[in-house]
Amino acid sequence: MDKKGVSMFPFVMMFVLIAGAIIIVFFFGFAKSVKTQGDFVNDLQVANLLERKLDSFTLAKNARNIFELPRISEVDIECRNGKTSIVVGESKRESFKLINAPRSFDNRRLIAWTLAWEYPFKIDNFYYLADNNVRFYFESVGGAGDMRNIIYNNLPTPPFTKFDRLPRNSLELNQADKNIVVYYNNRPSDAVFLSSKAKVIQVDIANNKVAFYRNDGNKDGEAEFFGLPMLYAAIFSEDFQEYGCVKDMAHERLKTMAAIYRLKAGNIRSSSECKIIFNLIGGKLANNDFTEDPIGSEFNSELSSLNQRLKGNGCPPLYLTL
Amino acid sequence: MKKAQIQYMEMIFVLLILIVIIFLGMFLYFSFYTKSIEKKGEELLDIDATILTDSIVGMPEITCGLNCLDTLRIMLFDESKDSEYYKNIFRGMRIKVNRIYPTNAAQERCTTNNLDACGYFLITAGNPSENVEIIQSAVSLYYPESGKYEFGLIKIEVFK
Repeated sequence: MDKKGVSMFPFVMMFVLIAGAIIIVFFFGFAKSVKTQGDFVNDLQVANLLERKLDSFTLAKNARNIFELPRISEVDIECRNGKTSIVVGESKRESFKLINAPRSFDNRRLIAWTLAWEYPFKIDNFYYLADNNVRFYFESVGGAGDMRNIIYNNLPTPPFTKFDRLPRNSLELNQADKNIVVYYNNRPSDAVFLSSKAKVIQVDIANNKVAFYRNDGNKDGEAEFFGLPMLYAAIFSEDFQEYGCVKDMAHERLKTMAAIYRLKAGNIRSSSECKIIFNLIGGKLANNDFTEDPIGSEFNSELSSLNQRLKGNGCPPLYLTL
Repeated sequence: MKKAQIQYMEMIFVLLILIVIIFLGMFLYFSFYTKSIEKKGEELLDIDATILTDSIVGMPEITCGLNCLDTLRIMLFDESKDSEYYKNIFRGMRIKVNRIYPTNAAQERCTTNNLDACGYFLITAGNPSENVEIIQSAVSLYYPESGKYEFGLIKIEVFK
């Protein structure tokens, strides 16, 4: 060091470079973690907001709304292991709502619709989410009173975009991000499978069954539906697995609700006149396996009229019509 | 030591001080940031619990309308529910509904046999823990047998 010509400059430079590199790496990592955490919190806030907005539908029988999100976020709805999740970016909010969405959205405006599922007492609400890039095609609509007509007309438009015909060609299908094509009697044509943006289902109204098709034209699976709200769940769900999961959740709720009302009919303290009606109700609930479509079913109309009888006789009703 | 060497030493010393100050600044910033994240987390937990409260009060199993709970169905819910399924829903929370008005000194849990002398309804017992966040909300309590309404307070204990 004491020798002339030995400079400390390179050592100082090395020291400065190493220290600078450490500081830059630290700040870079720190900035990255700040951004990740910020995004996570913002996404979670969007998920919370969405759940809150859906909560406002809880007591509605049939309601729709357009949800404005605070920013464009990728929103996905999943159903796994008996619960649905609202996934926004990296954040996930678990929910026990029966939510159905045909695709993941990256849109600030989401269209939400809800229908109450009744048997005839209310079990829960089905929630349907879409955006303006989702289109619905129905093979046919039939005449007034025809179930196909009811299915078509009950889907509110606006806000949803629907057609009472099949898509003309794959070019038309490519104009939207997701096309839901509903067939009834005919087997889906091959043309509809040319676009990967089409989700094809076939509804067998007579047997309360809905078949899901894959994009290669083969059947993905077939499942039952009980009531119009559940059929719309099949129409709005992303695929067969998602529908199966939401359907199982709905059935779990149905079993619990039926058990609660059966116990209520057995435990309620009331006059002997009322007790006779409650015993009839209890028997009906005990003997039902709830595998029948509630629309127009004998069980549904009998239970409704027994509930009316209770009200008419001044007895406490089995269930309240909200 | 020569003058030049002293200058280099000074420079290194200044750099070291500078680095220490930068790291100290980073440490302070990081600790403040961590605190703000913790606060944000608590806020989110509050929002989560509030949303959950609304969802639970609106559950068809126990609801009788807007902010209204059917007391008979609350009592029967425990016997009817599939605990595995509802464990997912309640996520270990303890949810009870206190009878507030008309005033009631009883402390016992309400069942179908002691409705005249009980203090609260239990929706789910949860897994008690010390670290809890308590969310409360006013509700109407409906008694279907008498057709009467009472004033109650739903209390949700969320375990952190």
